[in-house]
Amino acid sequence: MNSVTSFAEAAERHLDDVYGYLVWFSGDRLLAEDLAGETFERALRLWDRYDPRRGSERTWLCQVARTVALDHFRSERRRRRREELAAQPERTSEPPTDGLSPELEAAMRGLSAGEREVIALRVILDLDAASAAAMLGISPTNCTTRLSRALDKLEEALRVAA
Amino acid sequence: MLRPELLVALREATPAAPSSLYERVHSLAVAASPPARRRPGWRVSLALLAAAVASAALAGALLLPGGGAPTTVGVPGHGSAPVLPGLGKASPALGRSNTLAPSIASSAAALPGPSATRAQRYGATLRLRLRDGSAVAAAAREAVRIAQSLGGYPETVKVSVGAKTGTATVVLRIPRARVGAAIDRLSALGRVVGEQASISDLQTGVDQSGRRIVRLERELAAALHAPQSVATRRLAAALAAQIEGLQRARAATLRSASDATVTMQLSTPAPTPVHPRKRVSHRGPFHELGVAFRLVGIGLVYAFALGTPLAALAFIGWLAASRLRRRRVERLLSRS
Repeated sequence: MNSVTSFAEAAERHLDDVYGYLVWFSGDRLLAEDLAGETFERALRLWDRYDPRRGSERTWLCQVARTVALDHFRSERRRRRREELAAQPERTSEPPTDGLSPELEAAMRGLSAGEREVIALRVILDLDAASAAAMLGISPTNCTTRLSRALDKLEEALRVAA
Repeated sequence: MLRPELLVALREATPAAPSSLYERVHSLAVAASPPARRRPGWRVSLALLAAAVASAALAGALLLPGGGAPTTVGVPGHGSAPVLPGLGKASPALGRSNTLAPSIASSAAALPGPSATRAQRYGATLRLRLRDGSAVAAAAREAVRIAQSLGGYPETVKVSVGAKTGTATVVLRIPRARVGAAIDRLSALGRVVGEQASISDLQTGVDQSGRRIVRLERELAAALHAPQSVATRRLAAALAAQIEGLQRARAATLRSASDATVTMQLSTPAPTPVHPRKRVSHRGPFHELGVAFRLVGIGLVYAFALGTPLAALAFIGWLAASRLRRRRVERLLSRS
């Protein structure tokens, strides 16, 4: 099971899921592509630690992706602080909107990363509450509450945009 | 947009990974070398640890002094007894009530016997173990009776008995020709825990004394046949007295050699120690293994007593750290 061949199969099987999760999590397709590549590099290094009894391949890969994304967010925050001290921050490019309607894209950008993440896990990847909660390090009830609030916020943004 | 419609729209809008990403991941998998061998899981580690502990305990049990072999039950007095040729022949079972157990080794045949043709001073010592004081007294009486039935007599009898313990020393004079039968019967009075024999040859002295007597008798005869004078009469009287003394001494020597001395030391077992912990008997071959496991248990108790507070502190620290980390992540995500 734990071989390069099985990793290649798992990567090919779940690449779209990991990428979609990172797109929602980061809110940036280009960044999500970079993070996905980094995720699979790290996953290949850690592949011998993967235990099928503790979760599915997709969940494990998403956990690795989450760690990579959080590391990126931390470094990005440090970079922004440095730039705020030196000069005006550089504006990030607008994310491509193909696949999402402009209203949905705008509403999505109004959400925080945490809210986008819970939508990605529960709606896009269709994880159950327990798996998503385990990934986020919170209780399933808390996860459900957080999803409900995120969807409320998204609905409200769409209603305002309409 | 209603929530069901929103969920459908979100699922339909899920972006697919670009082909460049597919190629990058595929090249990663192809270029990667086989990962390192998987590290052993905690179950394997636990099994290895248990095997190591068991091996150490077993090795300790086998290598500790006295380990792995039954501890010899000490028999008081037996260790000081000289090793005699042929020791080990079991004595005939008597079925008497005063015996503790079958003798470990005893018989007249086990001891070197006296010579039938030479004058010898023969002595034997038997150490017998009996059940209680009354058995000691009965055995002493029986020993005297055996000696008398064989034509011997008791030279010394010392008996000191209590309710449960007792000792007796019986010195018997037995005709030398019957000493073998005597030892056989005396050995059967109790459990033999030691025996000793001593033989002193007297024949050389007896022979020399006889030759000297013959020479003196010749001299006496010559003195008597010589012309009598005061001097010759004195010489004859001196020779006669000397001959008489030698004959008396020779007769005494032969008389003493005609009887053997058999010393019997009768005793009861040593009192049971007050502290059973000091008893060395009943230690099986796994005693040291038990000691090793007891030490391991003591170590585990100490480890538990010291480790529990540390583990609790570590758990609390881990809990606090994880909560702090989660809050930081939440803060980070709420701003991103």
